Amino acid sequence: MIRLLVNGLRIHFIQLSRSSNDIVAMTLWPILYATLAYYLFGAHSNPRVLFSASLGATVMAIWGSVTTGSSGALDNQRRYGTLELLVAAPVPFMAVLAPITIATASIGIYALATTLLWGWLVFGIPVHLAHPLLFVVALPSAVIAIGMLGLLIATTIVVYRAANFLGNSLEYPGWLVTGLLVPVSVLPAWVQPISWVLAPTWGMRALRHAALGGSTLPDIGACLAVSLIYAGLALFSIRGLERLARRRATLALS
Amino acid sequence: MNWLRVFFVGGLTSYRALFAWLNPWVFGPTLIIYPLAQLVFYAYLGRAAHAESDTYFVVGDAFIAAALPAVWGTAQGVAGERRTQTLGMLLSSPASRLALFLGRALPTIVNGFVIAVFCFAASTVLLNFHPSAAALPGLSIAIVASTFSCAAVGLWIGAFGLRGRSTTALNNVVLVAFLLLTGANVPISRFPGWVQTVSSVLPLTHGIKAGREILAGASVSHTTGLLLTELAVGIVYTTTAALALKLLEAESRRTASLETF
Repeated sequence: MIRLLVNGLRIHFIQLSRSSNDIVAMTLWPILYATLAYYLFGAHSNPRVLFSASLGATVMAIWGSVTTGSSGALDNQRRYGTLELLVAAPVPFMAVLAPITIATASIGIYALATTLLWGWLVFGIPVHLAHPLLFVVALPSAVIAIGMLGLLIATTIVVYRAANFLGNSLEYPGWLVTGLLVPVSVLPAWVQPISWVLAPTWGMRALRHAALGGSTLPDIGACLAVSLIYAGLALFSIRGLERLARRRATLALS
Repeated sequence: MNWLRVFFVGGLTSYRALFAWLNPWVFGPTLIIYPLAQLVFYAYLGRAAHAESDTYFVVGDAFIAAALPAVWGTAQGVAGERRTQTLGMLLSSPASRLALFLGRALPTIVNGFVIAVFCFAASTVLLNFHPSAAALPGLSIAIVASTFSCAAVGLWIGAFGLRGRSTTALNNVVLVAFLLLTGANVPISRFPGWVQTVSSVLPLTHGIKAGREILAGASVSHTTGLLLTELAVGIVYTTTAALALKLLEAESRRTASLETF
């Protein structure tokens, strides 16, 4: 099982890394978000604010990649003609699907590198990590949590006729309610509970606290906790979908 | 008469066939939820940064919302022929290329206008945005002028679709430029001088400025200069796009790449 997960993650990461569209999206868009934030907050404002904006732009790119990649994960396999083979494989289908959605989150590493480099070179934002070791733990925790949320998205919104497009439309709402660039405190009070159940909230907090100082471990713990909850919900959803697709013989239909 | 038929009927047929978002399952998320969420996001980002008023972002992002179908839809109206494997047949027809491709821009301009109106209407409910009724005609003119110039950029991208296999990355680059450099979300005065020069030759820049001035109480006649500049930008892009379409059609014939996919 571990071999399956690791190899799946490796293969899909390499595939995404060779896609010009994905690489452009992972490098160009976070630079845009970061630059917009630098200019809106004031390019000469507190470097901590700007560094936090760089991290926010990175997590925005990760969430953008996950909403797009995950919502189309099942449809893509169907289009490649591999969906039936994957469902019939003698391993849990979730172990096949999870590496795909986590890989769409993990290419966020390109966004992180690009955004930090852009901020440093163009705006002179120093890259100083308050807790480097915790940052190294926080980053994969955030990636896994957001990727697992992607798994839940992949296994639920696939019932929508144009799941890809619905997934894309979740991009901005996700960015808004999880406090990546806009603090949740400026949003209406009813938004706050929504932010608690979404992985980017905890991923962003973990990265921010590890980079700028603060208590990181509870946020990393929250990332792992929501990951487990998403896994449980996704398992339930996958079983339902698989049963439905087999009963209706719609697995290969596009 | 045939020119007009190709322009109107051909344009409408292409819109129905190739406008990737015409399906209501796609139209809703892409042209209703996405632009509105984008607008609200930037308005709240502006609040958090104490940058500008809600109205500032409503105008900027409603115009960006109008640009989305105008740029992508027009580009898809030309480049989508490759995906459907009909590019060869289309380009072997004796129809006027100008009527053929300009006609594809018209429905997307109308679509862009409708999306912008929706964004403005929704903003009156969701944000602190209360335009005066007197400003609406002028605002409409600014939207149409801006959407026209955006559709011209879509024609440019479509021209590249005659030669290359995919225009997705190019569409993304253009959208990034619009979001950042046209003054939709960041006042242009905050950028270095050379960026301001680039901004001045981009579609949307002058239209958005005119829209903001009209909402602030200026009359249409007061913003005539800005509106005419926006139209002039659109005409320059349309003219050069027509040349690009001609050149790249010849190039795709020369390299036998019309059906590469």
